[in-house]
Amino acid sequence: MAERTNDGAAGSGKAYWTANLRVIKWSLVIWAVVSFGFGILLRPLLSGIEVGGTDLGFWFAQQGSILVFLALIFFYAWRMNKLDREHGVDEE
Amino acid sequence: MDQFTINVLFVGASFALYIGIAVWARAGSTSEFYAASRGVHPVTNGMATAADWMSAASFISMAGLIAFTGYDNSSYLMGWTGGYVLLALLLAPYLRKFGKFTVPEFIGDRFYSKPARLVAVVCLIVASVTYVIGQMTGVGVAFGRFLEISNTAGLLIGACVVFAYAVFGGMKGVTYTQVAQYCVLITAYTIPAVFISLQLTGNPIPGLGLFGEHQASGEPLW
Repeated sequence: MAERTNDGAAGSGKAYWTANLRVIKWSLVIWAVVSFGFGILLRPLLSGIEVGGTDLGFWFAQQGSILVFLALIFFYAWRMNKLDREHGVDEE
Repeated sequence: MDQFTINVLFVGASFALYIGIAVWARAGSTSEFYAASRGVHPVTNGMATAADWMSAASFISMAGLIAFTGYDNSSYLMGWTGGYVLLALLLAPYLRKFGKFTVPEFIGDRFYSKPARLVAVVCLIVASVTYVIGQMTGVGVAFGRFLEISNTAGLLIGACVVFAYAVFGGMKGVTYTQVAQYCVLITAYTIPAVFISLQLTGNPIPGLGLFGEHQASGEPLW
């Protein structure tokens, strides 16, 4: 990655990396909030909210967090491909 | 045909399929062995990864644990699946772009450090052994039951089959064997889940049946 990023635009590598870190940071924040947050720590807070017969915390622990994880992985792949193309470091 | 003959036929057929795939996909180079020449389609790769998720331990133990303890074992579901997010975000892209084959190799070269590489190797071995103990116990139980032999003999048979296809085929063999396993497992998971859900809640979609009521008693399930 390093060699190809540095040729041509000198600032591009740094910008690319900052953008990359921002995507990872927010993805991991969401990752932690839906599983550890909604599923475990915040469960008492969410217990009043009903989803089809069960409370929201339980739903997040059993299904919601997994669906969010899947969405995160797809989002990350799409976002990073876009970022790679914008900064000219894609594999094609 | 008695039950034992059917078991032997089915187990034998799946063994033959897996080893057949391994021989067909056998590796000729290091790149083929470790990374399947980077030529595996993303969907195929996803199927192989999914087969890793639905392993012997999740099929035999985790389903039962969650059925019995409900919310308390959600941590398995979240941890198990959440790990893939960490892998996808923090490790996989860099491993791929770096062009190395194994995680210790990547860590050692990236941080110019032999001790870091050693730490990576130790972590890898600890994690793999823990994982393999669970899986191989599952293999022993499953084959012991199907072939009506002791768990140890079942375990050894399973280990030989895995060894055969992993060594012949490398990553390519493992990937395509996993794809075959995925098709077998997703069927084996879905059919009982649909019928259990149908019987307990009257809803054929297990994911929605979770929120339903137990039909016989009218109590909520969870």
